[in-house]
Amino acid sequence: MLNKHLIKEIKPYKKKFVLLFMLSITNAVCTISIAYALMKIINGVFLADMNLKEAAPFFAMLLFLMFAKAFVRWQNQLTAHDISLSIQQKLRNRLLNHIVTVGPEEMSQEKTGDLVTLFTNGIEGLDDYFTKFLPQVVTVGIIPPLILVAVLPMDWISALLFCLTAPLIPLFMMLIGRLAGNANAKQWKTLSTLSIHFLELLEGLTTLKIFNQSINQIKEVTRLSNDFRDATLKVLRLAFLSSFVLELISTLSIALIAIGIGLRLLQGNLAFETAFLVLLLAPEFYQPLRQSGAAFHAAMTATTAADQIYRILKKPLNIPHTNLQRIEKTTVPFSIQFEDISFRYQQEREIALRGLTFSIEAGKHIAIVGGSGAGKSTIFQLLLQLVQPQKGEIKINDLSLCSIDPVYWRSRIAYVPQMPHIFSASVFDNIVLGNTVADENDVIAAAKAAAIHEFILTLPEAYQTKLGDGGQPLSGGQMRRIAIARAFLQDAPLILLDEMTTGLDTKTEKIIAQSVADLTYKKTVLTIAHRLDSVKKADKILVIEKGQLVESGTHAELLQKGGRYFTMTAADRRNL
Amino acid sequence: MKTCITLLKLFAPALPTMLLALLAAWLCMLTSIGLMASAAYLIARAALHPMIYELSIAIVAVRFFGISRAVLRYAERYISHDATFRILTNLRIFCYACLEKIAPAKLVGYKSGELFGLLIEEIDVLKDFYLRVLSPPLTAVLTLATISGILFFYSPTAAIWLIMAFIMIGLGLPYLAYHFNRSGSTYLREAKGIYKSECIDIIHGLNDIKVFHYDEKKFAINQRIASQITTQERKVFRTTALADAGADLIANWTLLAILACLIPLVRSNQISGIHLAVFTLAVQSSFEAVLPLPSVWHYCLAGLDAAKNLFKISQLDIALHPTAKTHPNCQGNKALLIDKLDFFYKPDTPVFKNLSFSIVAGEKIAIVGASGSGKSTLFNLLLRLWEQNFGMLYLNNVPYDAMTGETVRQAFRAITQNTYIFQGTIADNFRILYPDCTEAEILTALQKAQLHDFILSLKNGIHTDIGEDGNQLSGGQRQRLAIARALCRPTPILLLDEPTASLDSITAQHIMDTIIKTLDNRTMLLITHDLRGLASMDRIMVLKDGQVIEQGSYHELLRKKGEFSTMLTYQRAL
Repeated sequence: MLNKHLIKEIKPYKKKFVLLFMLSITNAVCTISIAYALMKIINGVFLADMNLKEAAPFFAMLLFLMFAKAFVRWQNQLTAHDISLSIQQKLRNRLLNHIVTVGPEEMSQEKTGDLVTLFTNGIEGLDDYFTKFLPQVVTVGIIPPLILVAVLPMDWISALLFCLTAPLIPLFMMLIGRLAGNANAKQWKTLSTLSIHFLELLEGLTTLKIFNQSINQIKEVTRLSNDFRDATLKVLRLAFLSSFVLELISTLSIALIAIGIGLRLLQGNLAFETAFLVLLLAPEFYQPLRQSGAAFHAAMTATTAADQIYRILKKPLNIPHTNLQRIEKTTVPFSIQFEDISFRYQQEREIALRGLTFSIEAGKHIAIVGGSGAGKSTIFQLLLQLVQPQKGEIKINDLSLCSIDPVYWRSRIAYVPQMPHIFSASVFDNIVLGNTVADENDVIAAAKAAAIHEFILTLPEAYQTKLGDGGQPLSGGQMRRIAIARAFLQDAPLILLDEMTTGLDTKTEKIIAQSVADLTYKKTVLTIAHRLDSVKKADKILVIEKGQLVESGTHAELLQKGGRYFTMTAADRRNL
Repeated sequence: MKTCITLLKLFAPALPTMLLALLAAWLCMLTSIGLMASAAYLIARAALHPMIYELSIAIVAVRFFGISRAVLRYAERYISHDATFRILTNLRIFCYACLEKIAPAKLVGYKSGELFGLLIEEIDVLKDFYLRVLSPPLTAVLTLATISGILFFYSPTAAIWLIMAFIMIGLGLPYLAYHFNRSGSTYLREAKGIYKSECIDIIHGLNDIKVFHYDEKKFAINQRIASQITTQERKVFRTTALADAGADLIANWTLLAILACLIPLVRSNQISGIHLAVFTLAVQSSFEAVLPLPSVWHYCLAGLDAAKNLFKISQLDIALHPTAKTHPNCQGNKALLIDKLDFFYKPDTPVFKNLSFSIVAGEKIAIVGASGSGKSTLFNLLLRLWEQNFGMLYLNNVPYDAMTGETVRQAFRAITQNTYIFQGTIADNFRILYPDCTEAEILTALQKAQLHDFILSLKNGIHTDIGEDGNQLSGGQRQRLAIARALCRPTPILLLDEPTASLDSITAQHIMDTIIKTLDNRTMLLITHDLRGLASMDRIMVLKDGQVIEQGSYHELLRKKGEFSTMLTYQRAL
């Protein structure tokens, strides 16, 4: 229950936590004093013929005490909530930072939905831990002991009963908790399988409809819903049971104490004053213990979320080499060398690259060809330092790539992905991205070079039009041109180009081909090629298969050789 | 308000159970008051040193209340949750039925995650609507009526104090909290929505963020939203907590006021001192019924919001089937006839304008065109997943509007681009679409799709679990499974949308050959952007700007040197 990660988060808020402590003590003192003053009034009126006027001082005292108690309670809640909010915000930022730093390769194992849920419901779920569970722990630690101390000198028998019955509550809670824990885990598993099943029905709805099976599935939905209800109720039944036991113990204890003091009163062993005060304090004594059941439940949910959050936060960062080099900020093209590179993605069984070796002279245009899954995109991932090779070395101008500062290195690359991610930001921001030096003129120049300036001007707010989720939708060709504009703005000597596989209309294809020609002029260029046109013009073609280089050379050379490249292009040559 | 009434109507079937739960809640409250009142009576009575038998009733009462409170509470919770979940089950079935009717045409804006949210999460929110919004106020009213009724008999003024306190805590404070927090919590909901999409944006764009060093700027935006949320949350919570503390204070001070009313009555011997003790504790514990009310508005708003989202879905289907004038059957021997078809997703961007063509039974046709030329949309219209805006489609000379969607779809089998692979085994994937298909049929179909050898290599054969969305299969295997499912039972017309997109060229060729072989004289429509291997098609249609701009056999089109031959020039090489 006391999650060590979450407890660690509180450390910076020690002072506030001490305040929480003090407030709880004040609250306990108020509670006892209120009971005392109430008892004085009732006792006076009942047995000592006190009238309203004589009771006035007690009334005044109560007015003040009750106000103080409400105020203290308010402050108590605010303090706990304050701590909780600060921790939540910190965790949000840390989590985000970590996810971005860890990078896309590592995070690709996680489902987007799960991650997003962590940011929203997951972190919000921690709120209960800090605002309900921890303050409750403090309250349980303060109020019942203080009441016990107050009752002990007046009526030791009742104090003894308090002492004997109070431990029953945590004891039973633990027993039921252990029982419930197992059942809970099993039931939640059922619940999550059911949710997945529901999600699947929705995702497959169109497919089902095409096969005329969607109506039949109403039966399945009914069955699932009923299972869902039963499973939820089963979990809840345990929660109800634990609160049943808690309530039973506390109400029975109160009854036991009431009857006990009643009988001793009858025998004249106890004053009414004392008896009534004990009766007033008894519910206050059990209240925090009773509430701790709900608080425990809240803490359990929160720790489940916390486990997920800290699992992500524990993902190792790729610690870069110390004293990274910043190669000179130059626009002179680089030469690149892959020396016996092997790489395997974590989650996959297949090796992506096995002992890949090739070299690229500065300023040359290289086309990479090969079937899907041959390892073409892995070459780009490696060059962008998004992943590190497990074996071998990549050299840039004879300098090892892993000794170069990645942030700096990436700024020397213009990367045009097949389908860029369009962020939910303005057109301007979508082109600029992380570039800190570019001004408006540079962006417009880049957009013009990518032949998208005219289109941007037709948008409702030109460069300030919002794109991405909920913004202006773009066609495939327009997204491609945004990516090319980004690359122009980067003005880098190395260009990585991933050609689109799906066809655009002929006019757009022509425009894009022209922009790409401008972009790649006098640069070192690596193209993952899907078009015969771009392969023909390349200085060298690398044919990759199963993570290995099978052949390389110019178009003419490779055709003459009659190898793999020859077979791949055979169909097209026949057609054209 | 309308949402509220509709929502209450949904709760109507469970009314008897709900009333039972309410009764239990009320009795539970009374026993808890009874416990304290009888204990006070016992002690006050004992202080006067009566004979022990005079106390026996009080002792029994204390014991009785001590036990029955916990029992009643358990009963109340069990009954109310059971009833609530029954209602939620019905609601879920109702929602699925609505979705089924309108999918996919009217669900374009929704992601499956959102729909899932509707079916599971929003309905879950509604759970609180009875448990936290409807039940507590009613319990409070009943408790108030009981206690103030008894109190009124002794001191009307004291009863009025109690009623006023309940009104202030139960209505006044919730209203004030609602009033001050309304704008804040609306703002919060919106801000949280924005924050969520910001997070999705970042997670989806991780690659580009890293490559273009966009992280610092993106963090700044994200942090700004997060801190706005925190500030607003702090504000809302201040008010909420203040309302809670205020409720506490009102309850306590009212107790004092009632005491002040009762003391003179004791002095004038209208009531006894025992009454005073009993009433003090009874009133004090009766406030337990009203103290949760200040936070009701929060659950109420959340519930109404969820209900609104649900009802929005159920109202979507109204516009789906426009009452078109009935078209007469047409003449001739056409398997499919498309007549002057107009269609748009958004009025200002038409997909088809005046599209007309016909297909003779048994023809094998390829449809080509740039992405965005409406090829996949055509299939959606043929399968009647969408309704055209103008014009008519005919199946075997019968107009579509003379048939139901189900009847139309009986003539087709289709592999669409986003064909879904269900979780479970390979056999499950067939059985969900063909509830009565045999193992032999499955194996034949798998053979046609070149998946047979792979399946035989598996230990459990067709009973192998292929994971969520078929993620235990490679992309090519998933695609072949989809093909196999479509080929399992013959239908007059086969629609194929890029069936071999993720397959290597040799397998692709094999599969296309098998499909054509198994077709015999049935009709086939093939959407593709792979222009090779189309020579075997009877006809190729080139779609552009919502029209058929060229059609003819492969060689006719090449000779024509029109759009098709230009496309071939730009066709991918490898």
